[in-house]
Amino acid sequence: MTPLNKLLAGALCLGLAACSSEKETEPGLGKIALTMAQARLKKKDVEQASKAKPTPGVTREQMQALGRPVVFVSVPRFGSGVAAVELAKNGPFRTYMGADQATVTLRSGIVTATRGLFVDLIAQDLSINPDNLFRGDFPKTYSKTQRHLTGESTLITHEYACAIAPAPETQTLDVFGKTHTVRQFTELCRRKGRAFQNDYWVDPSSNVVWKSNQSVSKEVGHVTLQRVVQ
Amino acid sequence: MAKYFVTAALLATTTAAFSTGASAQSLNLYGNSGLIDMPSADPQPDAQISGTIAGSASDRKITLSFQLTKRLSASFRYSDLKDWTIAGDDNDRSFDVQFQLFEETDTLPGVAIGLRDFMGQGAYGAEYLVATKTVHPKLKLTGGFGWGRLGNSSNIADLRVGANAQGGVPTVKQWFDGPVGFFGGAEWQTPVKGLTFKAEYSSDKYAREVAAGAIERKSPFNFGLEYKRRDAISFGLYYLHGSEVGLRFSAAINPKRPPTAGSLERAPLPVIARPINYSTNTDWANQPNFTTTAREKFAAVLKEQGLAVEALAVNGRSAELRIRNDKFNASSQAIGRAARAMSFVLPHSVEEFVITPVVDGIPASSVVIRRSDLERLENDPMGTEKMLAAANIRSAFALPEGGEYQPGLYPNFSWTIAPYVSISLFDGSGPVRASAGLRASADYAIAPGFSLSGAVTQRVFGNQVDETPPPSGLPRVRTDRALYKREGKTALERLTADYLFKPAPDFYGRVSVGYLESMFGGVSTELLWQPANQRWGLGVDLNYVKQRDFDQLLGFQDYDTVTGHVSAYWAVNRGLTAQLDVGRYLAGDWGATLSVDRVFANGWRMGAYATVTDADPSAFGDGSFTKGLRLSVPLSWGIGTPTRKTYAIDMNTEARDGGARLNVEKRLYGLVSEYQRPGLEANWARFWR
Repeated sequence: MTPLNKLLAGALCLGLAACSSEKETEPGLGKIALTMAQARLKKKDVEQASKAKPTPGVTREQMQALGRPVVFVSVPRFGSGVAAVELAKNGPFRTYMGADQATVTLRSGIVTATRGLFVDLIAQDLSINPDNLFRGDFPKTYSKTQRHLTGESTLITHEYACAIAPAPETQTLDVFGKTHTVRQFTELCRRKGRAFQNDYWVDPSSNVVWKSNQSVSKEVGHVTLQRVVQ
Repeated sequence: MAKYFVTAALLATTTAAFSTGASAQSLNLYGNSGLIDMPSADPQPDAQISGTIAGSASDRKITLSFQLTKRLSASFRYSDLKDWTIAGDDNDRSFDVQFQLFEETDTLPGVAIGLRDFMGQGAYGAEYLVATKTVHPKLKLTGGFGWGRLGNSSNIADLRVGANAQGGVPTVKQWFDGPVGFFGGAEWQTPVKGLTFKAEYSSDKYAREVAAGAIERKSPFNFGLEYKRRDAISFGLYYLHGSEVGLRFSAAINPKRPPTAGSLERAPLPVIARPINYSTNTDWANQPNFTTTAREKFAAVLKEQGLAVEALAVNGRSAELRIRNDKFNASSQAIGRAARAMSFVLPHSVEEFVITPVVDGIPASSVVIRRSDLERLENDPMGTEKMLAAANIRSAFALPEGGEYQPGLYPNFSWTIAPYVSISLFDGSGPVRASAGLRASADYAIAPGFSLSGAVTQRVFGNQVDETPPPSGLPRVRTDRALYKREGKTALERLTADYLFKPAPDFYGRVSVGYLESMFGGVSTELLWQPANQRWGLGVDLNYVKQRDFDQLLGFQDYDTVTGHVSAYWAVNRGLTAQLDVGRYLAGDWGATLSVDRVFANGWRMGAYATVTDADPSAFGDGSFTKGLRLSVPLSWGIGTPTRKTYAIDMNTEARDGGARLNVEKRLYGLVSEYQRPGLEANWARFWR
């Protein structure tokens, strides 16, 4: 566990334990998140993103030449990485498609759906406005629902208790040769039988998520997204 | 005997190769939930299909067991009796059912009631009431009361015998009658992962086997060790009756758990949403060639999605796109992809999308979707359910004025050459019979709905030819199947001209002429009334057929007949369909067939059927009437990529001449039902996939 994660888990423990109003509005959530954070400290039972493979042979210039917003999408478990071009806008949602014919849909940098990724995230929803996920007071607790297709081809919905907190310090992030000043946010989500950790590197002034590791399903694991062209 | 084991091994390895069973309760030597010889009250996981081969000194049993619902299970069994007989035979087929009366709770045991071999000749006939309780995470206790064979009686007169010499009729009067025996035992999960120890007190005195000298029963206690791997495969080694050893191997498969967890397919197009202030101008509709241009765009876009354009009609506010789906097993997935393609291609003023899937040239239904709903619900967490509620499913009408058919679709010639495997399970003279070879199929679609199609087979090997034709008091319309297999090594399996048509929006029609199936040729006609938004429909078919020569080339035998049925179809709910056919069968007997199928969203079907006709049971032969289980397995379930190929397996315990139907291709309900409301609802979860 890195010093940052230790600090975050500790902060989550303290913050959640003291957060009595959370218990009134969402009974038990603070306790769940506390347990989760404690478990995180004790043993590695939380799914985390593997490191994405080194950047394949595509450059920022090549992606800029596409003339549209581009997100570089890696799936560490598959060892894949492609430049995905914004194909559609629908209200606050943006859908990007890569040469692998898979799509990922984002809202404010948060994955809301994937298609063509083996076990897809059919839909994802937060109990708070995702536009405010990286704003306001922290640690923040909320619930997250994820919908997937079962082997029977029916939809299954899982609800996770989640908590998010920022690292105390900003850092410098390199995305395809361009540096950004960012703050890392760590999100821990748990339900009975499964827990995962997502990470977001967010511009503190504009709230642009320049990089993130986000779990889409147990089978696919995390996707790593790097915003290259806005 | 060697053949017996070869076929048994074939069954076992086939099941094991695809074994995907969910975490299962342990099985007994009968292939049902249980201890060693005794039953237990635990149901298997919902939809589980288990195959078991078990052997001891007195018999060898092959059982296929189906957990039809969460509480109801049914099993088919073929047994080879060693050194004893039942009704003079040294083999037996039996059928069991078990129903869970109460689920196990923290304090109370689960309770089940069961009938074993309840409509056969009675080799294993027994009834029981059993309770099972998990008293510790690693210890489970079972106890129950049994009748018949489980009645703890040494008197053969207390054992069950079939209601008639042919078996196949429920022996209702004997159920839960006579001496009652107590049985019970324990199941302990040892510290060795996957290894279980079992001990039981048996109330089966093996009276027939002991009397025949097949076994010596020194003790009512049986002991066993079982090893389970990946929840789906298990082995058991047992010490039975204080005198002999028994073995069991079981493998399970579950439709709800495919071998691959996900599906490998490209993403659909996203919805291309209109801007807030989009233009509602419809002047574009007056442009010459607009429909042609749009149709060509659709052809290109849908081709990438695995769909084909049949026709397009566009006006200022509405558009109808007719598609052919040769790729997706889930009908709703084809509809969803077509809808998104429409948002990509059509001008902003078009608000109503009408998507009409076309099957063999006939429009199966029309799904009407508001474009604004598509835009609004694409990213809604509950978008799947809301989209279904918003969609209007109706019978297809004529293509609107100005519509254009895609040129070049007709005439179209297609062909395939592929290996085939023909399997008969429990057909009366063996547990598994199979033939394999090559099949060349061709289809020449001359015009929408009108086609010529056929198939030629070349058998390479197999043992289906070895079956001994059973006696029959009826015209031999099915029981000569071994002669067809033997003489038809190179066979014209089917050659027909088919005309499918739609006389009115809610009606579908079919006329087929030619060699309709491997044993009969002639004329087959059918009419179906099935409004697309309705859960039930009615059909009628009338056929004049003549029996084909055994060599399955061009000649006919003397036997001809008129056969036909009135059929009622009912989609009971999203997971259950029922069908009732009443009419005249191939042997001239009159009667009815009731079939019930459990339908899974991934395309699996698991069903049972029974036919009762006025054919005299003694003329019918063993089994007394036609009944069986059937499975339909989509290939996409096994390989994880979209394909419409499915495999059908029919387990007919006694395939005889009574209650035999014509196996004609392109039956209308089967063609169109997947695109009508019940069919679409069943797999609607894939609309946005």
